Parts: sequence; structure tokens; C-alpha cells
Amino acid sequence: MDDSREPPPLDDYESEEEQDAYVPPVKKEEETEVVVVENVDLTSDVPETTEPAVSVAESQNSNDKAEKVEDNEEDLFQSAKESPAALQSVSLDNPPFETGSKIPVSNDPPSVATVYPALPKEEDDEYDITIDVSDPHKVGEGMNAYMSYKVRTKTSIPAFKRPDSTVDRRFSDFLGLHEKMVGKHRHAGRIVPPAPEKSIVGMTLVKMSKTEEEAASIDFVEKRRAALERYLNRVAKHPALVQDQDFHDFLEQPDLPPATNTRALSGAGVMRLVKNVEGALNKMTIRMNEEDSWFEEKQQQIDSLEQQLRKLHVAFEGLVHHKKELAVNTASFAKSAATLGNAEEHTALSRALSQLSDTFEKIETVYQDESNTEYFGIAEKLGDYLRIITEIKEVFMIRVKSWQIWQTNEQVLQRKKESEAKMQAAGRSDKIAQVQSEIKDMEIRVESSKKDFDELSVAIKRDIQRFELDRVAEFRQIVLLFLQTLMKCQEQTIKNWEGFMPEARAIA
Amino acid sequence: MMDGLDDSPDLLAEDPDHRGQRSVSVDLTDNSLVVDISDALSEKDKVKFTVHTKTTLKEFRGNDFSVVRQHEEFVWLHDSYVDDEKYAGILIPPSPPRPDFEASRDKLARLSEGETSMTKEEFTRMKQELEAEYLAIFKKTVAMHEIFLCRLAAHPLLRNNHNFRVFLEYDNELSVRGKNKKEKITGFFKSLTKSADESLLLSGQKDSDEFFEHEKSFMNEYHIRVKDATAKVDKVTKLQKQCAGDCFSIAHSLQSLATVENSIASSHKAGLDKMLLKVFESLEKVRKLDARSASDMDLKLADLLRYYYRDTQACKDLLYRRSRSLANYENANKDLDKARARGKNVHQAEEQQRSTRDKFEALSEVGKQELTEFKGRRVTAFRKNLIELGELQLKHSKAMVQVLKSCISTIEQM
Repeated sequence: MDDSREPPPLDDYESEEEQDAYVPPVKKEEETEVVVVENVDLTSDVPETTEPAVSVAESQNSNDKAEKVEDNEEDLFQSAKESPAALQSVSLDNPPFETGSKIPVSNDPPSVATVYPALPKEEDDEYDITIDVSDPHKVGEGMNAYMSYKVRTKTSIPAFKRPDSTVDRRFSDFLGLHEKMVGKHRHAGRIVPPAPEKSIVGMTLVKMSKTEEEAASIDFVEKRRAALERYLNRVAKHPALVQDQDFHDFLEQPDLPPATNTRALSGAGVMRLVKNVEGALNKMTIRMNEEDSWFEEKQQQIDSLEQQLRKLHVAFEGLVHHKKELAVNTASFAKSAATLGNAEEHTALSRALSQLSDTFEKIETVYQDESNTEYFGIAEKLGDYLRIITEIKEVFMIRVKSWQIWQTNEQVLQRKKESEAKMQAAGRSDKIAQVQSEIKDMEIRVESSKKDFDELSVAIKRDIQRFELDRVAEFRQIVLLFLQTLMKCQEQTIKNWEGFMPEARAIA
Repeated sequence: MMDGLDDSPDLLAEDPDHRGQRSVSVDLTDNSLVVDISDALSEKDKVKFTVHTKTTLKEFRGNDFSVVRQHEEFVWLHDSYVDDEKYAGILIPPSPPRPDFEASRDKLARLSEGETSMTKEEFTRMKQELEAEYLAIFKKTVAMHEIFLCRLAAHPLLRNNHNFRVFLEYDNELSVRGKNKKEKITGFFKSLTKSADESLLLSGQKDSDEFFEHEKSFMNEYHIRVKDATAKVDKVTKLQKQCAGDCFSIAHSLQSLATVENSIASSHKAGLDKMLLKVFESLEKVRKLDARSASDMDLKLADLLRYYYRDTQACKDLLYRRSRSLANYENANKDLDKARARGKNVHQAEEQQRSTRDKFEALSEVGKQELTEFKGRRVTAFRKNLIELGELQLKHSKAMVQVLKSCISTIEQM
């Protein structure tokens, strides 16, 4: 089968026809992992209740080569993602079903390994990659207008096709990439860098701007450009995410299929909303018995970190805001001082006043620069961290869910064992064999879900440790940048006042 | 309280400066009458100023005495000069502004109400700020009242006023009351007719004297400009203080962040907590300097402009009185012409015309001198304050750079 063929919608008869061909993939996957037997069986269940096309797609994939597995998997993700509410409302008291939706997690390592052969070199630091986002330009007119950005990648990673490539991407492409990344990696306990937030106000300004230059000069555009650049570089810094084929495609492929589901008001958007609410409910209802003191401690630390960062973020935003206003008012005083200087009849005093006006004008530029470039950077970076922390909490939640699955499986196993004991006591040997085989299945399942949970815990630990190290380095930079900005500002102020002094002394 | 104490020496040092500045243009060697406010006491809704006089003049009973005066008595003294025709040609020093502690009192009240809802550090900070603000306003008020008296004492004509002597000498209260309703209303009408008059006279009147013609247009223009500049610079200093406040919040957030980092092993190992604490300390110093720089700008620039806003108002009043007098003189001329044409009351009209002419000429002469002096005084005051402004801004900025530099180098070595 070729890559260009899109799996999902196929005609009904075809799917019926190929139902028989459904067995091969099962066997194929059976080789890789024993649990899969159970899982695949369930997968066919999942789509049936939510999106029939997937099972069709899967059957279609049966004859495919290993490459195609990726697409297939994506679809599973897709289905799991798009109907989370349906899935989970059913799943809450339906353990086997939960296990079904967990496939991606259990299947992840092997499939990733086949698709991205470079993965084993996870901790490899010798390759470097830098990504620039530049040249925001307006495309189209009116309400359909959007901003497009040039994304330039320079890298020495051999998995990339070229060491230096440039593509045009729009904001929704970034969101699309982010969706894919979240879908693939969050379940594996990886902290996926959050994408920049949507801004309806900002975009409306862009849409209303008349010329391209005007659009590019809007504050928001520069802010977003910087945010996108930071986003891509954060993804690139993650040893697993940087190997992701979708990430490579995003950076290298000239034309990307348009991202769907990223619009604020689309159906997927509503589903996302439902999912969020549902997630919040889960957070409240699931009480986890934390046995790992490391996680217990980390969760507390992350909570208090978030609290302090939020305070700091607010303070910085206040400073940015006031500095901006200060700049505006300094400029207006400069003007006022100039007119006062014009009105002044004493020549030397008049000159001194206009010099004073000049001084304030220069100070105004100092304030502008200060608030614009650096403070924005600082406040925005703090904002990034707040969103990363939200993502970390999300990952913690995934771990809690995984724990819950394991626990539920344990309970089911326990019940089965009890009923086996009862049957043996009652001497009903006819059904014992069946129950015993069920117990066997269940034991495998418990084993696998425990393994999932343990693997997940290890993965999260690794990612949080990486996050902590990165954060220490970046905070150091942020703090130094802040101090340097303050100092630069004062140094320029000194220069400006020094320029004023001779004129003040010359008043006679 | 630290802030308040920090500010006090500077503000105290301010007072003699102002005094010097006023007397420079008059006569430095003349110590025959020296007035200062040696003490001030803020009571519930009024401020009591202790006015201290040192004199060698024989007109006074003693040569070193003090009395207690309130703001209303200062206003009374000012009004008594304005109402006296004898001083029509003289630039009467603007009366000091009413002590206004309402704003900071309100804030203080709100602060104690909100005490429970704030964190301890926020509360102490707010309290410090308010105390400093209150102290600054208080000192400024005292300085303004003192300047008023000093200018009167230094003026060769104004110092000889009977009311002024009473004001300085009389031990008991002067029992001046605040204006009652009726007086307020007449005062309002007076100012209304004055402004109507002003626009008519100042625009319609033909003035043969180029000096005054020029002064009129200059003062009008200057007055508006200086008012505008005052408002603008006030906003600048206010925002600068807000920025310093933001720096405070940032510094304290960094401090609490340091506590969190201390509990995170990897951050602690990397010394992030120690670094943040260092930044917190430096930032505290910086924001204090920044606030000082803002209040110095307030003192040296905003207050200078504010004072000249009121002083140019006094100049405008002088010019108005002269125009009024000129109008009287012109009317007397017309009356004389009419009387001559009719042949009636000629002598009386001649008398009237002569007296208005004399008045007008005397007023013009004194006024010219006063306005010239005003110009000299203005230039001196601006020069002095602008130099001080520049020097203080440089001083604070340099101190900040020093603090930041040492902080950065410490961090880089960490």
C-alpha cells in the first residue's frame, strides 16, 4: 500500500468483505507482545462504539508494511482523543475497556522504536539543533487572513533530511503539531511543551490591519513569534520529542496537510472542553494511595512552585504595564517641557528647558526598550513555565489514571479468584476451567498494567528531572537578564543626565 | 519606619535651601528681619506652625520671639495684602496651599481595615510607604508656609505692613475664622467678574507700554504651560513610584521562590535559592533608590513648577490690577472730557483724573520693578533646582548601577 492513501473512510461492503482478513494483524502483533491479543480484541470494540471507520482502516492496514502501523496507531489515538467523553463515561466502571484505551501506552515503546530507529540514542547530547521563527507576514485578506511565519532549522541530527531547511508555517500548524505531540507522548509520561495560547483579540487586530507592514508591527505578532520560537526550541530540546517524525515533517516538509481540530469553536474544540471538565472531575474523585514518596514530594513542590511563579508573573506583568505607561507619560512631559522652553523668554533657561525635554525624550526610549524587549521576554517566559507546570500536572494525572487501571485489574482478579474458590467449594467443575483461564488472562493483564504504571513512573521521573535542570539554567538566565536590563537602563539614564548638566549650569 | 527616617534628612535639608533661594534675589546681608517656622504640629484636622522671628527692627517689641499660627491665619494675612490698594503694584507672594493630609489619612484608615486580608510583609510595606508619604507632605506643607513668610519678610515694602507685624508678634490666636458662606459667594462673584474683566480688559485694552503688553502675553502663555508641565511631571513621578512598588513585589516573590527552590534538591544543589536571595537583597536596595529618585524629582522639578504656577498667577493678578487701574484712568479721562464739554464739575473731574493717573503711574512703576525682579528670581530658582535635579538623578542612578553590578558579578561567580 502506498503512503498517499488515506485510511479512514471506506465503503461498507469493502469492510465487510475484508472482515476475514482481520486476523493477520492480530497475529503479527502477537509476536511483539503477548498482551496485545487481549488489546487488539478490545480495540475493535473501541472504534465500533465511537468511530466505525477505524476498524475498517485497521483491516485495510492488515496487509501493510511496518510503516503503515504508524498511521494505524495514529488513528487509534485519534479515536481515543476525539471521543474521550464517550470513552471514559463508559470506562469508569468498565475495566477491560479502560485497558483497551490504554493500548497506545503499552504499544508505544516498540512501535516508536520501529518508526524512529534513532530513539535508542535518547540521552545523546552531541547533536545540536536551533530553530528560528522569523518574518511574520500576513496572508490573505479580511476574516480569512492569517499570519505566516518562516521556520528555519539548523541541525546536525542525521535523522533530518537536510542540515538547514526553511518552511512557511501558520499558527494553526503549530497547534496541529502540538495536538499530535500531546496525543503521542503525554500518555508515555513525557512533558510535552505547551503551545502558545490563542489570542482572538490579537488575531482580530491582525485581520483588521490594512497593510502587511502594519500587521507585522502589532505588538502581539512579535510576542507570538517569540513564543512560537521558544515553543519549537523547547520541543527540540526534548530527547524523545526531537525524534518524532511529525516534528521532522513540521520542520522540513514544504507542504503540510492543514491542521484540523484546532479552531476554537470546532467540534473537536468542544470535545476538548468536555474532556477538560471531565479531567477536572477525575482529579477530584480519584484518590490515589501514593506509595512513592518521590512523587508525593514532587507534587507538593510543583504546587508551591506554581503558586510562587504565579505571584512573580503577576508582579512582572504589573511592572511591564507601569513601565509602558511611564514611558508614555515621560514622552508627554518631554513635549510639555519643550513648549515651556519655547515660552520662556530667558535665553539660557529656555535652552536648558529644551535640553531637559531632550533628556526626558531619551529616557522615554530607555523605558520603552526596557519594557518592550526584556520585560516582555521575562514575563512571557514565566508564563511559559506556568503552562509547563500545568502540563506536568496533566502528566501526574495520567499516572494516577494508570494506577487506577492497575488497581481495578487487581480487584477484578481478586474477585475472579474468589469465585474460583467458591466454585471449587461448590464442586462445580464444569465452569472452573473457564474461570481459571480468565484468571490467567487477568493475571497477565494486571502484570501488564503494573508494568505500564511502573514504566510511566520512570518516564515521568526522568522528564521531571530534566525539567528541573533546564529550569535552573533558564531561571538563572532570566534573573541575570532582568538585572542586566535594570543596569543598562540606569547606565543610559546616567548618560542622559550627564548630557543635561552643562546646559543647566549654563543658565546665568 | 525605615523609609520615613531615610527621607527625613533630605527633606529637612530642603527647607534652608528654599529660604536661601528666596532671599538671594532680595538682599542677603539684610538680617534685620528673619522669619522661620521652627516647629509644626499636626493635630486632628489642623496643623499648628510655630513662627519664629528674629529682628533688629525697632517696630517690634522684642528681638527674638515665637508665636503659634494656623493655616487660616496665613490665608488671612495673604488676603489682607491683596485687599490693600497700597500693594496693588507689588507681586504678592502666593498664599501657601492648604495642608492636605486627607488622602494619606484615608489610605491609612483603609490600611488598618485591610490589615487582616494582607500578608505581613505587604502590610509593613504599605505602612512604611504611607508614613513616608505623610512625612513628605507634612514637610512640604511647612516649607510652603515658611517660604510665604520669608518672602514677605524680605520684601522692603511688604515687611512694613501692620498686619504682618501683628501676625508675627501677637501671642494669642488672631481669631480669624474661615470664610463663611456669604463671603464665599461674594468671593466667587468677585473672581467671576475678575475673569470676565480680565478677558475684556486684557484683550480690548490698548496699552501704550510695551513692557506690560509683553508681560501680559508672556504671563498668560507661561502660566498655561507651567500648569501643563506640572500635571505631566506629577504623572511621571507617580508612575515611577508604582514601578518601584512593582520591583518590591518582584523582590519579595523572588524571596518566597527562594524558599521553594531550597526544598527542591536539584535547585538547591545548583545554588538557585542562594542566588535568588542575593537578587532579592539587591533588588530591595534598587527599588528604594528608585523610589528616592522619584521623590527627588517630585521635590526638585514638580514642586518648582508647581510653585511657579502659583507665582505666575500672582503675576497675572498684578497685571490685572494694573489693567483695572488703567481702565479707571481712561474712564477718568473720558469723564473729564465730558465735564469740559458740558462745563460742569470740571475741577472735580480734573482731581479725579489726576489721582487715577498718579495711582496708575505709581502702580506701573512698582509693578515693572516687581516683574523684573520676578524674572531674575525665576531664573535663579530654575537654575538651582535643575542643577540639583540632575545631580540627584545622577547620584541615584550611579548608586543603582553599583548595586546591580556587584549583584551580577556575585551571581556570575556562583
